[in-house]
Amino acid sequence: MLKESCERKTDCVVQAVEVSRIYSLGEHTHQALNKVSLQVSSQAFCAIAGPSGSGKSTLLNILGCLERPSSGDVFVEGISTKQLTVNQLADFRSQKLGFVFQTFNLVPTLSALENVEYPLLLLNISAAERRTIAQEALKKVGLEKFLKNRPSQLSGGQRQRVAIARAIVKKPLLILADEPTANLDRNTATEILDLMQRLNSEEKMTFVFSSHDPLVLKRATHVSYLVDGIKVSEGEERHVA
Amino acid sequence: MWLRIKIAIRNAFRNRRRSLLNVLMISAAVTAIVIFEGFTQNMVEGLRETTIETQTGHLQIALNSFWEKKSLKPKDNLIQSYKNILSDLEKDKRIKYAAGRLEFFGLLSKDDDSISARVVTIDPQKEVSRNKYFRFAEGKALNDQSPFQVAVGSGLAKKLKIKSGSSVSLLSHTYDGIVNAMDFEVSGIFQTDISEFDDSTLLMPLKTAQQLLDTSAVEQIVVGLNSSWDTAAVRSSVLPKLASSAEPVQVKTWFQLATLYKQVAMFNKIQNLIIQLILMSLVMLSIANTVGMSILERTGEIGTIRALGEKRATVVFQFLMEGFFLGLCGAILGTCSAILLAKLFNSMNVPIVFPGASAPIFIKIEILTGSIGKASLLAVLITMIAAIFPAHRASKMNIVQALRHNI
Repeated sequence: MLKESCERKTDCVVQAVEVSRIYSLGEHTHQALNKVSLQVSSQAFCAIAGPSGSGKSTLLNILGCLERPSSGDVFVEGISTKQLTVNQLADFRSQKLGFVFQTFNLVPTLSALENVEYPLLLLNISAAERRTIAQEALKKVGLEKFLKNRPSQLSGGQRQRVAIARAIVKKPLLILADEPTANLDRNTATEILDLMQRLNSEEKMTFVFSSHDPLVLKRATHVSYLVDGIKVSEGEERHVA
Repeated sequence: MWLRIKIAIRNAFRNRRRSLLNVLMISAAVTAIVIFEGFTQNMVEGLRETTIETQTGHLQIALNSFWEKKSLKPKDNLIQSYKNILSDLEKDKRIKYAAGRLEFFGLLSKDDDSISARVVTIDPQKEVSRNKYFRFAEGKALNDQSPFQVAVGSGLAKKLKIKSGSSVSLLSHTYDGIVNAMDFEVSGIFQTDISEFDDSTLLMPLKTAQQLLDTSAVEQIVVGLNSSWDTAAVRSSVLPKLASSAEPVQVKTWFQLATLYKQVAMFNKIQNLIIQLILMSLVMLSIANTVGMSILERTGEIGTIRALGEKRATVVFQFLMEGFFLGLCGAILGTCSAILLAKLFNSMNVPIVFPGASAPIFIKIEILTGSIGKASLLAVLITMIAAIFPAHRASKMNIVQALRHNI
């Protein structure tokens, strides 16, 4: 039903349909998600919110094809990801998705420019073209003067900007950001959110956050609230309790 | 690709101390293989040349009955028309010398002491080039002008207290079974690298031996070549010529005749193989451990690149490349240190006595291109093989769990 609606709605980029995720911990099982459905429209700036352990990161990981749901399905541009092989999922991620992580997750041996080039390498883009595109992406996040710096030579905010540049460099269908402000101070977090919001409005990029940071939730155009793996509410941030 | 190579090089050397230890370990293995093979190869080559020049020659031609030892009468094994064969052989420019040979036993006496001796003939005129392999501790080599001189092996000379210039008698019997004896002057005392030979042998001019044995024939024709590498080719080219000779002869190469050489060469080959196996196993364990540790430290990074869309096979390839660069550095360093060590050893003139050798020789390490290539290839391959299992494990990591490890 939901799939059909997504196929009809041309601006729907990703859709989770009754997604559940159960983890086995020895003899015990833990249900991280329980039949959660979610739909993300193109150019959205939306958030998955909830307290720790509510399943928001799990949902984000499933939307990002980083793990498979125990049941239910995720459709990206109307295509079911359920039947895709490990390699097809990898291709899917490299072509369609961008990631921003809480701990930045930059490759420490690469410079800022090389980190941003990396996703383009996976798309078999020529070295010269990669360099130009990566430089542009770093310029967009205001780091054109730090191209050759290694992650260890950058501040937390700068690292997160590099991570954002890495996520946007291939102009993905969707950028998934897992608690992107959790490791940043307030001012830097605000700057990072400003940047992402600018990319959303100017570059028409679609963002999905998992966060419980009020700074993020306040800016989100749409928030899905999870508690114990169940979606309890959905709507604009101001409507979420 | 260049970015991938850059990443592999940086990752291979990101933990400098650990990488240095690995490179040193690989280079030590490469050095050991190159040095050891260079040393044994030189020894085996030395033994080969000594065996050829002092005993077998490159080719030996004799009657079928001689090789097959069918006749109990030595006279039946003699080549009567050997001079014709010699003149035919001497036309080939690859042949350094071709000479008739007789080999027999006699009773060598000096004063009141006698001992059984093996007599090997030499043609002093034709086989001059062989003289350098009979190192004369005393006196000089046989020459064409003094037919009643013999050269005595150092071990044999010691037993009979023979010195250069001593008078000795040799008692033997002719091919017709008549006892005959001759007196000789000892021209010199020689030493080869093979003690068994030096302990039992005396050299006598061929013409004199023919007189003693009352024959104008020879048992064998010994052929010496300018290069040992031509042995098979020369054998092939002389075979058709010999087919038309008056007597049915067979040609054997030095390799067919040099039993001691074959045993030593085989022993060294097996020894080298075992050493290489041990060294490369150590390298493999060390690299596997290092790559395993590296993967543990880089779990978050592996999760990240997998999340970005890197395929499992590419993750394995990345680690294999890192192994390749470690192996390559180890191979280069190992080769350089092997060359330096070889030069150092060769300049030090360290003496060594091999089992079965009559005199010490100086250690000489020959740097062999083939050995460098083989050791380097082994080092690179082993490092890559060692990286396969941990790299495969890394590629199978759960992405979400891997991402939880901070980088």
